[in-house]
Amino acid sequence: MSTTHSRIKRSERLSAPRPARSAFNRRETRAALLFVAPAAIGFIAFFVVPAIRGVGFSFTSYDLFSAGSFVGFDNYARLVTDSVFWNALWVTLQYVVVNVGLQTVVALLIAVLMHRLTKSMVVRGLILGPYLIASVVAALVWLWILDYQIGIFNNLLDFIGLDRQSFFGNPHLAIFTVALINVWKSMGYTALLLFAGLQTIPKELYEASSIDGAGEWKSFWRITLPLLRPVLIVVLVISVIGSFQIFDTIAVTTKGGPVNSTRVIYYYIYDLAFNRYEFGYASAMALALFAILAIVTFIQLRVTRARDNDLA
Amino acid sequence: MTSVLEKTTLGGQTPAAPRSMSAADRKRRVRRRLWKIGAWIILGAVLLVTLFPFYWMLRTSFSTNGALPGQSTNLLPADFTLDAYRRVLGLSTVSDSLQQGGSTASINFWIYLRNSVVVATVTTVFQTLFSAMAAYAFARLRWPFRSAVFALFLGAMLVPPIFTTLPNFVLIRDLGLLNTYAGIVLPGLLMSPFAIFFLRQFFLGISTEVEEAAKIDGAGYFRIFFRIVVPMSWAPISTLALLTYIGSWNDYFWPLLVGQNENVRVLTVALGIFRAQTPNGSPDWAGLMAATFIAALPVMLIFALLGRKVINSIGFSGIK
Amino acid sequence: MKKQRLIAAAMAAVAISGALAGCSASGTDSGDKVNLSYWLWDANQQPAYKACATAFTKANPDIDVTVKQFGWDDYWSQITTGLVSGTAPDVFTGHSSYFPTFVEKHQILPIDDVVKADDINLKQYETGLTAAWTSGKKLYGLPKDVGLAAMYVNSDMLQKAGLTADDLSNLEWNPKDGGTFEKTIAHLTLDAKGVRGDEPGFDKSNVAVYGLGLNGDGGGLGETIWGQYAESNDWTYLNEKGGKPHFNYDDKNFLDAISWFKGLSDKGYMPTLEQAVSGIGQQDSYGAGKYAMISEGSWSASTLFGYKDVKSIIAPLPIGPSGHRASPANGLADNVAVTTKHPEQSKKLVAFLGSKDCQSLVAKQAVVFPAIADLSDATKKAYEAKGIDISPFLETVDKGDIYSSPSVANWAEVNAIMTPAMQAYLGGSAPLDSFVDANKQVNALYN
Repeated sequence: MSTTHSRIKRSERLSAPRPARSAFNRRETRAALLFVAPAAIGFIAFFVVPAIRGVGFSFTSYDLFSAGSFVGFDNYARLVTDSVFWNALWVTLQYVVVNVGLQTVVALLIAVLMHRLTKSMVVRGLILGPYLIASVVAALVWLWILDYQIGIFNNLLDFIGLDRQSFFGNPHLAIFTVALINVWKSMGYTALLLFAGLQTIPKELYEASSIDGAGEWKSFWRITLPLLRPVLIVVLVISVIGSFQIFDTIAVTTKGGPVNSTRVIYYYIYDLAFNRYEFGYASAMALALFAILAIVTFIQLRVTRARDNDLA
Repeated sequence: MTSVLEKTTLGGQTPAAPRSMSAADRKRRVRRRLWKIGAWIILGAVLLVTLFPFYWMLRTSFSTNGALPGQSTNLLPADFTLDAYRRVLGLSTVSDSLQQGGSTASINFWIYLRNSVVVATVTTVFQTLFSAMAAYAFARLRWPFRSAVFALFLGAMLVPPIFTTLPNFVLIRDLGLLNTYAGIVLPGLLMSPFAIFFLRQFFLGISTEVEEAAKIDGAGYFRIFFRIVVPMSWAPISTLALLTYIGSWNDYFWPLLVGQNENVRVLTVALGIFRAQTPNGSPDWAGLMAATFIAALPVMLIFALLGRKVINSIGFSGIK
Repeated sequence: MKKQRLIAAAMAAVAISGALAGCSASGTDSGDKVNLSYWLWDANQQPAYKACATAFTKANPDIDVTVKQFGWDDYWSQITTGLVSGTAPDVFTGHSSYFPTFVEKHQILPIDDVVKADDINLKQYETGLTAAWTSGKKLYGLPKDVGLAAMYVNSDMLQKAGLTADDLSNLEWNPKDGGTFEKTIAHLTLDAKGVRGDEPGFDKSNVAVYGLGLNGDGGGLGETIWGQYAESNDWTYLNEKGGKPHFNYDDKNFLDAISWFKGLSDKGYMPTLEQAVSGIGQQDSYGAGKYAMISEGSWSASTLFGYKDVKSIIAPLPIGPSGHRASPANGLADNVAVTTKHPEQSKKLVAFLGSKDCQSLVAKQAVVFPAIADLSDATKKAYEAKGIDISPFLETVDKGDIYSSPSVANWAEVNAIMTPAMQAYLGGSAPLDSFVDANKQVNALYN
């Protein structure tokens, strides 16, 4: 690959002083820009431009069919007094905490077990299974299994003498049921990500620690967890962002009910935009969601000090 | 857990170890065994919870729709039949489908399969490639505004899809790419914020000595990237590729919007006919479950064939 | 340079795939032939409409029709996206809940000109249907079918309870004690020990079979759920007051009907809302033998008669305090999208699809009831061939015991208010007078 070099005159390269560490090497910058170029094009065309348009819509009464008129900050003012919006945020928060919390713990458990207990490809493939099904189908299957009257799980509860539960109809249970369904669906995927991270931990560290007499538990806390941190951060950030945008499962099972107890923020936005044609208001809400997510992500990255790398 | 430790521990190979075990050793061995049993129980429970719904889907896919509600506690298929699979593969006649509770839309299964493979493969190859390149630039190259641009790219993950769907659709229409493979793959082709984020974390973890050595030898950045960094990061890159493939394979809403014609319709969209067709209707349960299995099969095959490479590759941790 | 080679390869791949697939783009006109696209959501009606499309092209050789089907869940987002981006079908099956909004936003075209030109007889349709598709004195579609409601009864359970189909033919209900209707429901209810709902010792906390099923909250419409009771209690959804709609969800007759309806759950004859919505729905629960009777639409007849373990008969809805039954009578019609490039041909297609020639093909499928009154005999025969006797439905229409659902703009907003309100009341977390407040909010939408 010497063509890059021949571009820059040999004499220039040899005679120019080595740049200080803090200054930017032009050659490096140019290479970096080339590396980033395709992604940047995609980013601008398919993310930035639509996002800017979306922001524009949020200041109008756009209803998808006609341009709508400029309404200034009316949509945002309405947001503040909209009790369904605040309820949606609360519902979403409940969902995110349960979903991400449980999913990360279970996925970590699975990843560690896969790493240390068995090398079986079959087990690893099976764990990933739920991720391969469309979320809509997964929701339908659980709808059947958890049905109050004829679902096999409720039949089991009945059989061992417990009360049948209305998993989707009870306002206190519904959102947690949805969270658990998504844990089931995504824990294999998350486990796989964590597993990739576990692969990068050098085996010598475990050997050394076991010579020192540390048990499994101590190894986990002292070696695995800290060295897994970069991947764990990715997983946490991704899971949180993804959880905030939950939609499919609710659209299939509870449709926001009962009594708005599963009306998460994204379902509300979609409903407003495509069923009630209030695209301007939905855009304002989407922008609010974006701002909230940005703050949450920023806090997450700060708290976990994502820039550090413990291995280096 | 214990087995790996025992294999790598020097303890088992110490030449001067005494024959008899001390009480402490025995205790440690018992504890290790308990850990192992406990771990297997947990793994078994996890597998059970993971797999039971699959079994339920399998059982339903071999059932007759009309018999399903009445046999809800039966763990075996209700009125065993292969009709559902016939419907999915397009081997069932219209009147038969109707009578079995299925829909009457025609299914050109192999065409849809081909379309899904094309879309998923093209998306995966290019998205992984471009994202890896960008991730490398963010992780290892120094250039002005690097952090700011990275934060911006991450921000793309936060943009609610509702903002992007409609304008992207209009853009694709304006480019004349509706009902083409290009139109379906284009938005995801060039970048995925998640992929960049994920790979950057891994690239950050690669030790710099190898790269420094290569630079001193006069290698350009592209050579370093393709000949050194990529092979070293094969585990995360192929993991990402697999996940991208699955994600692209299961994508529903965008291909539904952009690829309606038969010749570009992907499998997930085509199999949407097994869902409820009317406002208060039931899905074609047996057909839906059969369709899901058949749609997941190609991905499972890929995983079975390439999985060993993906899962078992040992990550480079530095200079050996 | 490897990089440039890569980019070139990428562009080539994109271009090639674009070219390959672009070869068979449809919807374009070649020469003088016009190609119309027609969308519908009911896959079971697709064969009939494909046959209609073929017949239409035979009669109009320069117009081709492509029939496409999308399931209900995807249908409206596709239509909306299509209308916004100009890629909507030329003609599509419309629904009464979207109709007023599309009219208000000028998304569909009126068809009066073709009605006049072809001298279409609007009286051939059942009463009230054309009115549902008229707005501002313009007609936007020809009624295609009519959907009605009745009771589907598990005939084995009926027999075991010592009742016959005749016993069900003249049931009455009232808000005070439920009348003969409630007595029948109670008698059909069985608890886990086999005690009937009207016998002493009935344990309402441990019911094995409910006399009447529940299909959800119904939102602001309650179609096939509570609409038939409210409307037969001398109540109507809304009145016109000063050119604006005024809803009546605070009316005493409505409140009485709803509170009686909820009472059925409280007494154990009908599942509670929580129990009914937590899972797969009324139809499959009926097929599992959990409900003795359900009120459902005529459009579900094929599914309900298709259950292996349940034999059904159809009985009419109960007569209310108004002295009449009240079945919803809602029909679909085809609309012409404003984005069409061929308005004249599209309107021709609509006219054909609403004509006897096409609708008689649909009637033979026995999936829906055509809107053309003359075809009811043919429809009856088609259903009989499937073992379904639809007389109770047809009698309702003959007697005029029907009502149309509200057709107002902003219906989605009304529903957004009424759905949580209805869920809260039926679920037991809000009192009956919460509807007064909900009604205020609804009417505030129109002021």
